[in-house]
Order: sequence, then C-alpha cells, then structure tokens
Amino acid sequence: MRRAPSVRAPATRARVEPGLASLGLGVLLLGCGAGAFSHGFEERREPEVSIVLRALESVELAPRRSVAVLVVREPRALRAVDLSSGETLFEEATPELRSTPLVAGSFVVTAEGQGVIVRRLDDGRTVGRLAGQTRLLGASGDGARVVVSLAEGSEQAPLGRLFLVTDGGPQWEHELPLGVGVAALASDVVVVPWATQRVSFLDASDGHERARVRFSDRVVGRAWLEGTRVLLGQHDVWAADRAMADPSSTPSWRPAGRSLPGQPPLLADGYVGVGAPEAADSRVRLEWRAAPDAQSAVDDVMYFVFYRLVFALEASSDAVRWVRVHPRDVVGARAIGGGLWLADEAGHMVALAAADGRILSDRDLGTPLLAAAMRPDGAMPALPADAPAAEALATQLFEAARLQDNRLGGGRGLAARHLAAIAGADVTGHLVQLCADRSAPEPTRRPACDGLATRTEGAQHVRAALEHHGSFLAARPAPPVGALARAAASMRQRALVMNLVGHLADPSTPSEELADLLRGLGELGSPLVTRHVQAFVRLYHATEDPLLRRAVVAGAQALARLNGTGLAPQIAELERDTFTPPPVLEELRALLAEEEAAARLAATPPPRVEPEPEPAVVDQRPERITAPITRAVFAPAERALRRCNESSTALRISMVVGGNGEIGAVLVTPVEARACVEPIVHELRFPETRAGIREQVVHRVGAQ
Amino acid sequence: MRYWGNGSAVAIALLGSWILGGHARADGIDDAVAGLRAPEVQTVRTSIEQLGASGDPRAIRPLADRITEGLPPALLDAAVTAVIRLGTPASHRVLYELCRHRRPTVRVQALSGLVRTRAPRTSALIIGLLDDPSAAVRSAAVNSLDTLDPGAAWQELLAAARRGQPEAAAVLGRRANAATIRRILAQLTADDVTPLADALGAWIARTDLPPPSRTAVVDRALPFGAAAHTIVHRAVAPLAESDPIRRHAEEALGAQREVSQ
Repeated sequence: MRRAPSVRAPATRARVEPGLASLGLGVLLLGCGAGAFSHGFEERREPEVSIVLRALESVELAPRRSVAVLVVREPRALRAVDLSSGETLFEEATPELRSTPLVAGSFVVTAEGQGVIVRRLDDGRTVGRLAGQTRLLGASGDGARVVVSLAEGSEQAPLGRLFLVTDGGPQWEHELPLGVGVAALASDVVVVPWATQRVSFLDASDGHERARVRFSDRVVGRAWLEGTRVLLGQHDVWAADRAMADPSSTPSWRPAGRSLPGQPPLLADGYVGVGAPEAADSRVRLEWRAAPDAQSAVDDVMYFVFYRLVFALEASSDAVRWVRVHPRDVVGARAIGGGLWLADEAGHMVALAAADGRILSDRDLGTPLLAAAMRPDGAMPALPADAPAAEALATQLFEAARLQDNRLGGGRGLAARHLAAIAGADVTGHLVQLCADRSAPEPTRRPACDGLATRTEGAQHVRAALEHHGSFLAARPAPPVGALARAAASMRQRALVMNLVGHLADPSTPSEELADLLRGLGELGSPLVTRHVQAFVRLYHATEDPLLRRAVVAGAQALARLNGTGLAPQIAELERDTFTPPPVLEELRALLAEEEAAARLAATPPPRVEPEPEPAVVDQRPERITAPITRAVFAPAERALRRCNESSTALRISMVVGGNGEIGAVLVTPVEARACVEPIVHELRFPETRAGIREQVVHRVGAQ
Repeated sequence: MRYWGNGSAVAIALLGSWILGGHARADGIDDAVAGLRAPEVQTVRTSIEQLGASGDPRAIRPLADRITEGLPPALLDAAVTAVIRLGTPASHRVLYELCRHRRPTVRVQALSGLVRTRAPRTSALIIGLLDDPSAAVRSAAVNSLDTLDPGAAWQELLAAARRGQPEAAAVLGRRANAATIRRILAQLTADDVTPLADALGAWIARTDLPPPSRTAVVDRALPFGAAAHTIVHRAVAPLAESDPIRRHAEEALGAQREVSQ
C-alpha cells in the first residue's frame, strides 16, 4: 500500500495520474495499509476473522440506479442510459476502449488506451485514471466508492494492484506480490481474493488488512455482492459467513456438470483481464445469479449465450428448459430473478421469461452496439397479454439446431444433443433431417447422428430416409446411412435390412458411413444379410483406404455376431491371407482381447448363440431393367402421363434408375411437360436388379 | 468361409511351369489359377497376367472369384485388366459388379472395359454412371459417350453440365445437332451460362451447324449479361470479319450494349 511517490512503481506500471481535477488528493496522499498482503500476516486470526465474517452476513445495500452502459459501435463511444427513465446519462467517445465496461455502484470502469478510467455514471465525469500497462480485472462499488482490481506483468505470473477510488479521486492502493482476483466492496469491508486461494478482508476506509483466510481445497478468484450477502467463488460458489472461519468445511455449490461449446466458465476467471467489447467471450458466456445462500441458482436456471442462441439450462440437472433463437448476436446479458435481460448488436434490449423464454419486453436503444453492461434493478416486466404461446421444447431445439449459420455449430450441436433426449417419433424425424445435412459442421451433425442412432421410435422416418440413395444429377446427398442403420437396429426393424444392404453396395454411400452401417446390420441380426456382409469383407479386406479398413473391422464384428461365433474365426480367416493389412488384424485382435476379458469378468459364460440358418433364397431379381419391365412399371401411370402431354409428339421420359430400383434424375422432352411428369414418375419404382448398377431407362408416352 | 489357398506350393508349381515351358495349355491355365492364391504379390500378378493373356474363356471364372475374394489395389487393377483383355461375354457380369466398386479408378476401368468389350446396352450403363458420386467416373462416362452416340443422352449431359461436370458441356458443344441445340436453348437460363460456356462457344463457332442454329445461340445467350457477352465475343473472334455469324454477333452485342446503357 502506497502513500508516497518515492516508492512508486516504474512508469510502465499502474499509477494514479496526477493533474486531473478529479484527483483531489492525487498520488501524494494515497493511503497505505502497512502489512496488508504480507507473508507474515497471520491467517484466520481470531477474533478478527469472526467479527468480519459476521459483518458480511448482512451487508447494507446502497440505493442503485437501474442502468445500462452501452458500447456504441460506430463511432465507438460509451453511453450510459437510465433504464427507468430512458434518459441518456452521458455519452463519450472512447476510441481506445479495450474492455467491456464494468458497472460498479455509481461508477463505470473501463480499460482504455494505456490505462483504466473510472467515471461517474450520473454524468460521465472521470474520477480516476489509472495509467500503466495494466489489465482490468473487475470493479465493485457503492454510491460513493469503487474498488478496482488490476493485473500487471505476464499473464502467467501476474502481479496484483488494488485501488479504492471515490468521487474525490483515488484513496488508497495496494501492490500485491501475487495475482489479485476481483474484489468486492461490502459496506466497510473490501473482500479481496488473491493468489488463487487466499481471501483478505480490508478496511474500506484505509485499506488495512483486518483478517485473512486461506483455502486449500478450492480456487477463489471473485468476490461479489448478491443481495445483502457476499459470495466468493471461481469453479464453485460459497457465501462469506462465519462458516468460512474454517475454510476446510465451508460448504460450496456448483451447478450440474455438462459440456458446453466454447467451454464458458461458471464465473469469468478473476485473474484474467476483462475482454475487449468485440471479444468472443462476451458473446459466448454463462449468465446466472446465485441465490443469496449460494446453494442454488436463482430460478434454478443458467443462461448460456452462444452468439444469437440463448439457452436456459436447468442449474441442477443437465437439461434445457428452453432455447431462443435471437435474430442478432447477443452482446450483453444480465440475469435477474424471473428472467434474463439481453442486449443485441442492433441495439435492442430484450427481457426473456425464465420459465419459458417468451419475450416480456423489447426496447430499441437506437444504436448498433458492440457490448453492453446492464444493471436492471427491480422485477422483470409482466408477460404481455398478447404474447404468443411458447413453442414446445422439441420445436425450439430443432429450430436452433437447423439454423444455417456455421458459426453457431457448437450451439446447434448442443440443441441437437438435447433434442435427442426427447422421446417421440417426430423427434426422430427431426434428427434424421439434422443428421442428413452434410453441409452442417461436425459439432452440429455428430450429436444429431449419435442421437438418431439410439432412437427407438419413428421407424417411418428411418425407412423414408433409407429409400433414397445419393444422386449427383439430382443434387441429392446420400442419407446418413450409418446412423440410420443403428437406429434401425435400436428399433429392431429387420424389415429394413435389404434397404441397408442396398446402401452397402452403393458407391455413393460415403465411406465414413460404412462402419456404422455394418454394425447396424450386425445388431439387426437378420440371416438375410450374412452373405452380403461376408462379400463386403472379402472384397475389401485388403484395402489401403483407412475408412474402408474401419468398415472391414466392423464387418468382421458384424459377421461374428451374425454367425454367433465370436471374433476368433473371423480373425483366423483374415490371417490366412498375407494381403490383409496388419492394422486390420491388430484392431480385430484388440477387440478380441476386450471380448475375452469381458467374458472372463462375467460370472457365467455367455450362452452360445446358435446361428440362424440362412434361408434358401431364390434370386428372382432381373439381371437389368428391360423394356417389358419398364412398360410394366409405367402401366399404372400411363393415363396420367398422357394427360401431361399437350404437344403432338410423344413424351420422352429419361431416367437414371439405381440398382435398388430407385428413380433418380428424371428428364422429360418436351421440357414443358416436366413439371407434370416428374412427380408422377417419382411415385414409381423399378425392381431391384442383380447387376445392381445405375442405368438410363427411357420410356415414351404417346400423344393424347 | 475360406478365402485363400496354400500359396507357397502354388508358387513353386507356377515357377516350375514357367521354367519347363511348353506345357499343355490346360496345364498352364491350371497352374495360373493355382497361382492366384499364392502369398506373394509377384506370383499372383504373374498368374493374373497369364490368365488375361491366355484368351481362354475358362480363365474368367477363377479371375472373377479371385476379385471377389479381395485383392490389394494394384493386383485388383491387374485383375480387371485381365478380365477386360479376355473380353468374353462372361466378363460383362464381372465388370457390371465392378461398376459399383468403392474405388473410383476400378469403376472407371470397368466402364472402359464394358465399352471396349461391347457389352449389351452399354449406353444405358454409361448414362447411369453420369450420376456417379466420383467426378473421375462421370468424366469417364462423358468421354465414353463422346466415342459412342451421345444423342440419346443430351438431357443427362445437360444435367451433368449444369451440376458442374465440365466435360459434359464440352461434349454437348462438340456433338449436339441442330435439333438438340434448339431444345437446350429453349430451356436455357441465366444460371446455365457459366456451366455451359464451352458448349455455347462451340455451337457459335461450329461451321458444321446451319447458320440459323448458330445465330440462335447468340441471340439466346446475349440477354444473360456480361458472362454471355464474353462467350460470344470469344467464339466469333477467330472468324473472318466478313463472316455472317461474326457480323450478326457484333451487331447483337452492339444492340445489347445500347440496351444496357
């Protein structure tokens, strides 16, 4: 703690600049609490610790203005708005702004240029300018004072700086030998997390350290006021109360664990500087309020903002309450009891209900924004009388998951993951659509496909998707055959095995789908498919393509299952060929070892599954499509097709027909008849052929 | 399921047959067939080549079996070559199967084999392969059509060209007759100008087409904007200044510029 300029840090370090009218006391009169943060300070010294902690159990709250501080996009400026009256409190150009603003009591604190500036919210007057190569960590204030936490030096081993500034300028400061976290001003006490495990309690009036505790089982990076209580935390949260006198038994709380895209922390790292207004961490974040007892979240909800997606996540379980697709990126958010206030880049400030995400209020602030810090005091607005009913959660999640915005891949994937947890045939249909969208980024598609693979309802959607093959001319991508095969297995849809076999033989089935396709066939367990899987494994077992090798391994596993013999015979067969690539054998041997280990662990040996004999199948498929076959296929549609032909010449219908009988691209002459002919033709289906090749088929329909 | 035989004994037998030479033809086939299941790559390759060169229809079945038993890529390529070389009707069934092989180069090879061995209804198969997921296979299909009669496939070629298969536009440009051009022009849209640039340019330049067909291309394309102007300009540039097509094009271009100004 400093009193005299003779001990000031070098010029590059933070200092309170003299010469500003607002700095009435200036540098020379800064207070200095001797001994604070020193190594020799006794931790948990009684009765000081108990006295301080008791005082923190009910902090007197200063009246606060309901306010938003906006970072206006162009030209870059800071604007403070009173949310109750709509009045602009001040606006000031801030071309060198390098942090999102922090609202602290009656002040707003920002990092700008080479320093940190403290302004009064009421009129924008600067009351403190802390110069130097500093990083703004946090600020906490009341009506007359604000405590500002800064970091200097390297990000790996920062040194902490702590200032208390009043309307009359900076009052005292501390240089810490280690990093400081975000301190909280709680009435007469400044609660200072530092060195990741320590918390010091300073007298707000002069900065003297009154007490200190140290945790050995948790990280503490932030202190803040929640109602009349002081909370502490970083990876979890706890209240500053008398229980903290024994840090080892201080109860803490954290929400249910879950994986979120962008991995936003529960609380922003108290030892890392506040991000720039345009930084991603202001657009991907968790926003929530702890209950004052720090044992739950207000409304039991945590809002996850991911650019323009807003999820309301249940705090106590890995579940979604609602998701809202906002029209624009969210640049600021603040949770309060009953809902979430958000500000978007177009300058709208919107209130969403905690219960169902419906819009309670939408207010145009009149300017595009880069960032916004909001402190809306009071209750959320009431739901408008004409508010539409909330959509079903499955619909909300589906809408979010299918957004055509690849920047949102992770958020869309989160929506897909939670969608997959909802039962119902319609959801299976949604998942088929999401999984089939090969233009979607992997983080979106993967959860949808994984979810699809385990569905047990909605077989009609799986069947419909499997009826189509990929077609270049028809600009139709191959369906997600792997996930569909596994879904068919989960649904025990043996009737679909021949559809799946058709995809196995189709080169338009992407190689990455084959392993799951073969696994699905193995799980379905139909003896009809054994020879097809066997043929596949034989044909490709010597491949050099890594994806095909994975498929060969999966095929061998499927055969082991279909034949009821286990992997050993499959491996023995493959070992007999010197052309079998070693990686295939190695992977199969590893799987065999797992299989044997599992069998050893089991109390009783698994019952031997007798392979079902493959039924004798007489292949009645035609070798290829012939003219009589074409005539027979078209016979039911002939009359309708004649009606399509308004010309005097015959209709010529040219089709590419797949080996499974599916009609792909349909081309019609005269072209004017195409719109009429095409839907009729697509209702038809040719028989599957033995040759299994795509070929052109032409059919002519006479004039009316 | 048994995929493979005893290789080393076979290899010795095969080598023996080579050293001694002059064996009866049937013995040579039998030895080569046995060599297909040798453990050494070189022995298998030699056996495949020997069977392919034998011209013996009995060779096709063991080659087909060996292909379905699975071969490394290089040996599979050699086996397909051998099947094509045998060129018997029995080869077609094998080549049809290989038109669905997962490796595009195998499909290309099988396609060219079917064309070369005059498999029945090859055009239908080739047109089917215009729908293949591999650009290389589609390209081979287009080129195969070019050597046969592409007339029956102009719609599929047009569809392939519209989907960005460049060879399709080139073949249409070279091979479409006046009637086909008229049909294509009737359904031309602004989106077609770039993918069909080769075809449009070729039709304007082709002297084997009747002049009204060529001027029709100019008149149909020009309203589609700058890209079409460039195509027309490039197509008529090599023509003599007095050429009526060039004169027509330049007048039409001038008229278009006036309209756009």
